[in-house]
Amino acid sequence: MRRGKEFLRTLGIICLSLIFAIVVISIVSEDPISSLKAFFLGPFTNLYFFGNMLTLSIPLMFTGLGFSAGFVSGYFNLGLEGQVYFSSLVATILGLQLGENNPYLFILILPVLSFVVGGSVSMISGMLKIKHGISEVISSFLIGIILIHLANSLIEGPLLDENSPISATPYLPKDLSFPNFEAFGNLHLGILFAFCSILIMDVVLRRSVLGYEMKLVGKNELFSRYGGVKVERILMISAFLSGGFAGMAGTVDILGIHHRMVRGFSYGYGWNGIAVALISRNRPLFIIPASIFFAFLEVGSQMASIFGDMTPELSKMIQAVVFYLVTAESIFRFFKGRRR
Amino acid sequence: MKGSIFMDHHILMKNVWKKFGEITALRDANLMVKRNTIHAIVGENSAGKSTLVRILAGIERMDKGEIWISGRKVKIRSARDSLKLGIGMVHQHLALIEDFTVAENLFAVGMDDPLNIVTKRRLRQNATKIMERFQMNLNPDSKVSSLSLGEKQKVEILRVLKDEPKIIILDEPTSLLNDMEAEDILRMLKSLKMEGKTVIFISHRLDEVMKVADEITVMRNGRTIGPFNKSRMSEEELFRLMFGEERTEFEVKYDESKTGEKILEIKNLRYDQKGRVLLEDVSFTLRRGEILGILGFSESGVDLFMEILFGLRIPSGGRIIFKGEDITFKDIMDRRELGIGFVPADRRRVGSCLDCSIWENVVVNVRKSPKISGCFFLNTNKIMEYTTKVLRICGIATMDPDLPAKSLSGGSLQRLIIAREILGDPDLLIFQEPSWGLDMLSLQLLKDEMLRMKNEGKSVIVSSKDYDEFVDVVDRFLIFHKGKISSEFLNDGRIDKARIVEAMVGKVEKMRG
Amino acid sequence: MGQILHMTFSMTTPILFAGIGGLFTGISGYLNIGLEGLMLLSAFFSAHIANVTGNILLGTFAGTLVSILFSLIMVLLIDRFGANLYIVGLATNLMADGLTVFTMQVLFNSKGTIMFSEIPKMRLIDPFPRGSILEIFNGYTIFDYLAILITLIVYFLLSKTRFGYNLRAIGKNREAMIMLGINVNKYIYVSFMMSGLFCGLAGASLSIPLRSFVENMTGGRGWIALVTVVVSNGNPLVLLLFSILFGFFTALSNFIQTMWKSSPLIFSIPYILTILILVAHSVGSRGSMKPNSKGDG
Repeated sequence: MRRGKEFLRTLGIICLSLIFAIVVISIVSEDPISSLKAFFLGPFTNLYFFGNMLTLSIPLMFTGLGFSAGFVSGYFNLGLEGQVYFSSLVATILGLQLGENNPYLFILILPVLSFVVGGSVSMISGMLKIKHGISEVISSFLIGIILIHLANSLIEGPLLDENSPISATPYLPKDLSFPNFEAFGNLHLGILFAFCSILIMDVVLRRSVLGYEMKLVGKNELFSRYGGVKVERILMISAFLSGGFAGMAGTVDILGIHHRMVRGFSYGYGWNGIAVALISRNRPLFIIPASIFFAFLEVGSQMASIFGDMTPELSKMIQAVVFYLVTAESIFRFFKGRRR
Repeated sequence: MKGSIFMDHHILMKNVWKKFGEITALRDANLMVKRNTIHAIVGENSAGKSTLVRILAGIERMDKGEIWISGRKVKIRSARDSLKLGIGMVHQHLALIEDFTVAENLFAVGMDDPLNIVTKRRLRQNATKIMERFQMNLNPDSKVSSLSLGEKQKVEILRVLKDEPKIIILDEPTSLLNDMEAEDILRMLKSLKMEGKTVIFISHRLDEVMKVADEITVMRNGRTIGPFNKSRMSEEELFRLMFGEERTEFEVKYDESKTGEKILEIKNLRYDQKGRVLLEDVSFTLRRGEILGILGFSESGVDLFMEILFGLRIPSGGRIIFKGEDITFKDIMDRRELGIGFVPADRRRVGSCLDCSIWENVVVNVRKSPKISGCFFLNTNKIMEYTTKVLRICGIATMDPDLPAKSLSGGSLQRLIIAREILGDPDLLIFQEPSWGLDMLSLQLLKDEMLRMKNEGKSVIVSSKDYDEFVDVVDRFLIFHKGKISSEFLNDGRIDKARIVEAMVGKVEKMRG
Repeated sequence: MGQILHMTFSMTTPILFAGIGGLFTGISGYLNIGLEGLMLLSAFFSAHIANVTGNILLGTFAGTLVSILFSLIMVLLIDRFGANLYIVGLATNLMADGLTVFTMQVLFNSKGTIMFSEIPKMRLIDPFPRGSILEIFNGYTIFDYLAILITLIVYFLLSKTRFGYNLRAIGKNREAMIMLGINVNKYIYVSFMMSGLFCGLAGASLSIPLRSFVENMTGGRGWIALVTVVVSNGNPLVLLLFSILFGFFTALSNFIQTMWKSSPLIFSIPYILTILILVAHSVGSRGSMKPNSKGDG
C-alpha cells in the first residue's frame, strides 16, 4: 500500500512537471501547437529519434545509479559531473596509448578502469567527510570542478587533435568501440552494460548483506553502529560505487558514440543523474524508466527547439521543477487539504 | 462554583488527565499550591511529576482537566501563555547555549524585540545586577561550556527569575548537583519564598524535601496523593507513600556456588568528557549464571557505563575483559561475535531503525550468520521464516514484515528488540531499562527468559531506575551514584529497599548488604 | 601589481555578498547550496531590468526581488513540505541555469553573451582624499564599497543585536530556543530571505558593472562563497578576509590567463585553494567540529 502511494506521488510529480512544460511552451511559443507536438511526440516520430532518446538515457542510467549508490547510505555525491568527465578522459588516454593492439580486450578494460578512476575520486570526498568532517556536498562538487578544469586543459593542450574543428582528442583505434544497433540511431552496446550494472546493483541492494548495511547506514547511523556495522567502511564503499558508476557513464558514451573525447560532451549527465536517482527512489530497476523519462525531456526539448521555437534549456527548467518537488514529501497532502 | 478552595490556592490543577500514546501519564491528578509556599512534588521515576508541571508551564497540553490561578480559571496553551500568567519554569534538561557566555545566555537571547541592541557592557551590568539580587556568584563573561553543572543550573534558574515570575517551577533542580551545590539551590528556594514567590519543586531526595518544603504532594503511577503539611509528616511515612511496602521477602536467593567461571571483568573504568569525570573507578567481576542488577538515577553514570560496555563509547581509562579477552577497544561487531547482546534504553533511535522495515530490524544481529545469509547474499526465505518466528514470539504474528518499524506500537517494538537480542543467543546480555512499555505479562516473560539464560550458564546485566522491578530475579545489585559504584547488595532474599534508595540518592557510602 | 589589486577587489565583491547571504542560513543551521543559483538569477534579471529602465537602482532592486522570491520558495518547500535542503538548493541552481538561458533565448534570441548597452556606465567613486594612504582604495564601483559596508552592518547585526544572538543560538541549540518560546520558524524564514537579498546584490554586482550577461556567469562563485561560510565560523569579518583571499586568487588566475594565454588549468587555482582551506580549517578545529558518535574518549 505504501509503495502504491509512493508510486502515485512520483506519477504526480511527473505530471506536474509536464504541466509546467505545457504552460511554459503555451505562454512563450508563437506556435504552441507545433512546439508542443514536437516536444511530446518528436522523440517518437521515427526509430532514429527514438533510438537517440534511448542512447541518451544510457549515461543517465549510470549517473543515476551512481548517485543512488551513494545516496542509500547518506553519501551525497555532487561531484558526478567531474567524475564522469575525468574518468572518460583517463580511459581515452589509455585507449589511445594501448588500445591499438588489443581493441576487443580494451572494450572491457576501459569501462572497468573508468569505474576505478571515478570511484577513487569520489573516495577522496568520502575520506574528507570521515576524517575531517568536511561535508561531501561541498567537497565533491569542488573536486569535480577542479577535475573538469584539469581535463579541459589536457584536451586543449597535449591531447588536442589539431585537425579537428572542435576541441577534441584524436579518434580511438577503429575497433575500440561498441557495436551499433543501426536502425536505432546511435543506440549501442553500452545499453547492455547499463542494464547489467543496474541488475547487479539491484541484487546487491535487495539481496546482499552489503546492500542491507548500506541502506541501514543511510537510514539510521546510530542503529547501524549498534548493530555492528562498520559505518565508515560502508560509507567509503558507497562513495566508491557512487563515483564508479558515474565514471562509466562517460566512457560508455565515448565507446558508443563519440569514439574520442570531445570537450564538454558529458555536460549535464551528473545533474540529470541526480534527478534520475531521486525519482527512482533508490530502487535500481526504476532507474531504467526514470532515465528514459529524463532523456525524453532532453530530446523533447531539442525537438521543440528544432521544429518549434523553444530552446533546449526547457529541459533544465522542467528538471528543476522535479527537483523542487521530489523530496517534498507532503506536497500532495497539502493539496488535499492542510491536514497534518 | 467559586468555592473557597479556588480562592485559597495560588495554583489549582483539578482532575488532570494526560496520555502519551498508549501510556497514561496522569490519571485524575490534582495539585493544590498555597500562595507563597514551597511546594514539593515527590514520587518515583515516571510517576508523572514532570508531566504535571510541564502542563502548568505550557509545554504539554492536558487531555482533560482544569487549571485555576489565583482563583481564576485559565487556559494554558503555550509557554508564552504560561509566562504571561507569571509562571516560570526551570527545566530538568538545561536549555543553555554552551558557546555563549553566562550574561549572553541570560540577557542576549530571548523573545524580546529582536532589534534590541545588545552591548557587552549592558549585558554584564544586567547580569551582575540580577546575580547580586539573588546572591549568586558567577562570572558573567565565562562561557557556559566551562561551568560546572551546578553553575549551569544557577544560570538556568536566573534566566527564569529575570522575568520576575510569581510562580517558579523547578524540575529536579538538584539531581545533577553535588551536596554543596544542592545546598546552595535549596537556600535559594528559601530566599525566593522570602521574596513572596510561590515555589514548586520536584525532587526524589526526601531529605531535601523535608528540609525546605512547606507542603508536599506525592505522586504514584500518575495519581496524586496530598497535599500534606510537612510538619505532620515524617520521612518514613512519605517514603511509604511513595514506594509502598517497606520490606519484602523474595523467593530468589543468591547462591554463589551455582555460578560458574568468570565471564566479565571490569577494571578501573573511567570516562571523561571535556575535562569532567563522568565515570570513575568502576571495577567488578561477573560470573556465568549470574544476573546483575545496576541501579542509579539519570546522571549516575549507569547509562554511560552500559554504552561503554557494549562499545558505543570508548572509555578514557580502564579495561574490559570478556571471556579472558581484552575487548576495551574492540568494535561492536567483534563484541557481538564474541557473544554480547544489548537492549538499549533509546529504542527508537539506537535499538531500532524506525524507517527500516520490520525484517530489517529483526535480522540486524544475525545478518552474517548462516541463519539468514550465505556470507554475502541474504536468503529471503530464511529471513521471512526467522522474522515470522520473532513476530510470533512478540505476539504480533499478523504484522507484515515489510512494513516500516514505525508502524509498531511502543510496546511491540520493545518486545521485538528484546526478542531479537535473546534469539541472537549471546553469553552476556545487557538490558538497559528494558521494562519501558512492557505490560505485566511481557515483563514476567522477560524475567523467565533471564532465569533461563542464568540456568544455561549465561549472564545478564540489567539496569533500571525503578529498583524493585527486577528484585525477584537479580542476584546482586550494584548501585551507581555520581559516576562511581556507591554500594553493592547481595540479594539474600530480604533486601531493604530503603537502603537501596538511600544508596541511589547518595546518602550511604560503600557498604555491603 | 595595481591591476591585480584592483581585480582582486572587484572579484571579491560578488563572493562577499553571496557569502554574507550564505552566512545567514549557515549560522541558523542550514547549508544553502542554492547561493549559486540565486546569484545567477539576480545577475540576469538585474541587468535586464537595468537595461530596460536605464536605471541601475531599479535593476538591482528587481534582480534582488527575484532572488528573494526563489529563496522563499526554497524555505517554503523545506519547512512546510519537508523537502530535502540540498535537493532544493540544487533545484534552484538548475532552475537559474535553465531559466536565464531560456529567457535570453526568448527575449533576445541569442545565447552565450548579451551586451546590455542601455545600462548606464557605473561611475567609479573616490571616497578617500587624494594623496592619503587610502588612495589605493579609490576607484571602485558603489557595489564594492557597499559590500564592505554591509559586511560591517551584518557583523553588528549578528553580534550586537538580539536578532543575531537568537539566530546564532538557533543554529547551536534549536530545541533550547523552542523551549524559550522563540518562534524558530520565523527566524529561519528571515534567514533565507536574507540569503536571497544578499545573493541578489551579489548577482547585480556581477552583471551590472560589466553591462552584460554571460550564460552561467557566476561560474562557481556561489560555491566558493559557500566555502567561506563554512570556514568563517559565523563571523562576517573572517568571511571578509577569506573572500578577499579567494578574490585575489581568482584575480590572479584570470590575470595569468589573459597575460600568458596559459592552460585553463589555471582556473582551478581558487578551487584547489578552497579544498586546502577546508582541510586546514577542519584540522584547526578538530574535536569541536568533528562528527563523533563514538564519544570523545
